[in-house]
Amino acid sequence: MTHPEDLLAEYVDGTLADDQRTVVDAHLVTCARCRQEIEAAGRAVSALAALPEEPVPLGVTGPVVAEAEGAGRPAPGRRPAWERFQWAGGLAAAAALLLVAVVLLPQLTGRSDDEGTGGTARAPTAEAGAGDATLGATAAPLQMEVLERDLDDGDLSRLAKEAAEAAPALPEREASATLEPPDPAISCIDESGMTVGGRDVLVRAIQAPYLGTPAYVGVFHESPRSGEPPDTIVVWVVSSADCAILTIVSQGI
Amino acid sequence: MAIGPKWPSSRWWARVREAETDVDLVRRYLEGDVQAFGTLVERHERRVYNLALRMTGREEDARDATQEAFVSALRKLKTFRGEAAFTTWMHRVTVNACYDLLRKRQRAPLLRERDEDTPPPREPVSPDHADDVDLSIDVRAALLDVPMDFRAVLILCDVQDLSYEDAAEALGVPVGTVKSRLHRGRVALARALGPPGDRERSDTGGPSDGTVM
Repeated sequence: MTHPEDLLAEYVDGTLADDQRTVVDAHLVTCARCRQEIEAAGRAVSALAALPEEPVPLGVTGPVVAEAEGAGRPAPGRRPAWERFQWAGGLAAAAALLLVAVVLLPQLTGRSDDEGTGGTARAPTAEAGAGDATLGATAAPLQMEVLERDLDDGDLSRLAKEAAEAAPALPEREASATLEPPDPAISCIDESGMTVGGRDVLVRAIQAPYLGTPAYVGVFHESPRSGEPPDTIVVWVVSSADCAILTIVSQGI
Repeated sequence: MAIGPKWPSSRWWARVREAETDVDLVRRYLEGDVQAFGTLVERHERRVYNLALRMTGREEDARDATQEAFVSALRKLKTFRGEAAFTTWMHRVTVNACYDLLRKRQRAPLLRERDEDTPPPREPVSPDHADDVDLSIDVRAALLDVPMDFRAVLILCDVQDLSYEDAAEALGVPVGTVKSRLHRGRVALARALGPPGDRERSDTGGPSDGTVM
């Protein structure tokens, strides 16, 4: 018996033209094997349709995006660190805590009273763009990334590795992040005791649960001395409820 | 054109880009807007990763294949003609990355290694007792028993919902081949999943599946 194999997928999908469907129906009356196959194929289709879509783990596409963004630049080594992490901006879009970074971290605590809560949208553009000459190119937005999924230690070491791979070979300016209005993540990290001196540059700020605890994650470039290129990545995780340190991961560059 | 770091550019651009087609983004990237590639990645990474995950069966391999797919997309972007949808093209690049990886490694995917440690029950499971979680684990393991060329068609058509034509384009085979592989692949998957009650020899395979590799 000749089996209409080339028609059976479409028969199961219901996309066969009427005349062809009639042909298959007539065949099925006398062919137990094809009837069984149709039944099996139907089960396979339902099983595949029930497969859940998995989220993309952290750190998978960051390096290639960084590569793409580096390729078109005249002097890739000079790009400010934050740009390399912009790929993650999409993750943050949902939360849209888009805030602007201009000031030296050590100044943050001191200045937070002045900068206060006023006029969220005003100063940043002016400050960042109009350019304090000493800050120049690094006056850049740092976006708080908000992740829904729970992070574990594997995620943290991937974050650290990825940051290490993308770390600059040149000294960076200290200017890194001031979130306006002053962001609880930064104050929290600051309060928890992370040394934010000239040696440390915050390159990512993430809000996400860590092993079930709501947390802030700061990814820092750390230099041996101010004015030297970073040699270590530090991932600092604090509880967002009480700023207690949950864990610290470091990774050499 | 480089996008300056000034606020609120990134949000503004994000909104502008939502309205842009993939082809616009490719063109923009080739014209020098290096950030356009990141937007393409954001749009497609989930599909790419899930295709890779179903093809390779383990997260580690899926990560590698996803990364490799985007690296190779980046290199080949100039050859993207815009005739096929970018999604289809990206599927093709991803399937190729998975083939390369699977051939290179030539080892049993994790789920099968686990299976060897603790063989899954082969006796029929009544659908009434199979909850969704167990079912999806079974399906993932069973997929790996389906030969690679058939598995690729199954995933493209029945998981990623590509049309027969797009799947053919993505795999570089005729549409007729997609239809016949789809049917054979479904039957092979159903066998690997185990019989619903009346078939016993789920591992012996049928006459026409398992012969393509």
